[in-house]
Amino acid sequence: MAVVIKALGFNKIKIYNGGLKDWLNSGLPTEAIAPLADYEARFVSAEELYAYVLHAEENGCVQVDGKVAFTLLDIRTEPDIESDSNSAVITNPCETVTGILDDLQDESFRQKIPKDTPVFVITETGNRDVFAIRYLHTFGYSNIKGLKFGLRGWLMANLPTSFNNNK
Amino acid sequence: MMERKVVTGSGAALLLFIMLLHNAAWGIERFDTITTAQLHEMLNLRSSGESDFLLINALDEIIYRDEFIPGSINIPLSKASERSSALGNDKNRLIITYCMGYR
Repeated sequence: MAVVIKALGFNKIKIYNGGLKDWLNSGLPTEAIAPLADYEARFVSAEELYAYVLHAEENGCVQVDGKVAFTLLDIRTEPDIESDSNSAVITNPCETVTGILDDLQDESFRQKIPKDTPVFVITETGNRDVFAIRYLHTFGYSNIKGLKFGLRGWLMANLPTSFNNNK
Repeated sequence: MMERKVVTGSGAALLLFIMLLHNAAWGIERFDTITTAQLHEMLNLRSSGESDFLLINALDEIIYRDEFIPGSINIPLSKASERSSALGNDKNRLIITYCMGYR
């Protein structure tokens, strides 16, 4: 973000690296406008998700009832905004829905995400998954999990990625 | 069968190294950083009119609305350009940005 602000011509920029996490850990107060309802987000490891993807692929990416086997919800932000390079995406022969977290506020975007089959959230590091899961839960999504450590965890596990110009 | 070896072990390690280096460059080499205690103190000084700066929450709007540091305004990274007017016209005004924190 600092890079973007600097590019807009601002000269005095500092970064609070600790961010919201450190602020909360220090016991300092926060404010809220529309707090999300509590909901315990569940996560899968990169290896578990990979096994899931392989199994789904072997079955043509559909369940026995013909519904999609699962959906990856890729809501990474940084590669789009802060880099001109192509961004790595998880190699997925099945369904992937791509957007940003705030797209979930758009009903037409949510309609792309199946409600009755598994959904796995992909973020950069897994930090923001819980917000997507809690937000979607308010719209009836319960079969949704995060990816532990996000794409970074997937890369660290040496699992397959592709490069997508359009992400 | 899906091809597993699109990014090899050494390739993934290199990619991670570059990502970490990239982040470090933004956070440490090019921009000054502040601690929680410093930010807290600066916000107190701003409240009493002894300091002036803009505190930017760069997280998604959904996250900001759930919880934010008092006195910060939300300019999501994904909407930085379209909401740049919120930064004002004074290019020399101190701007402090934050997001979720260490990863």
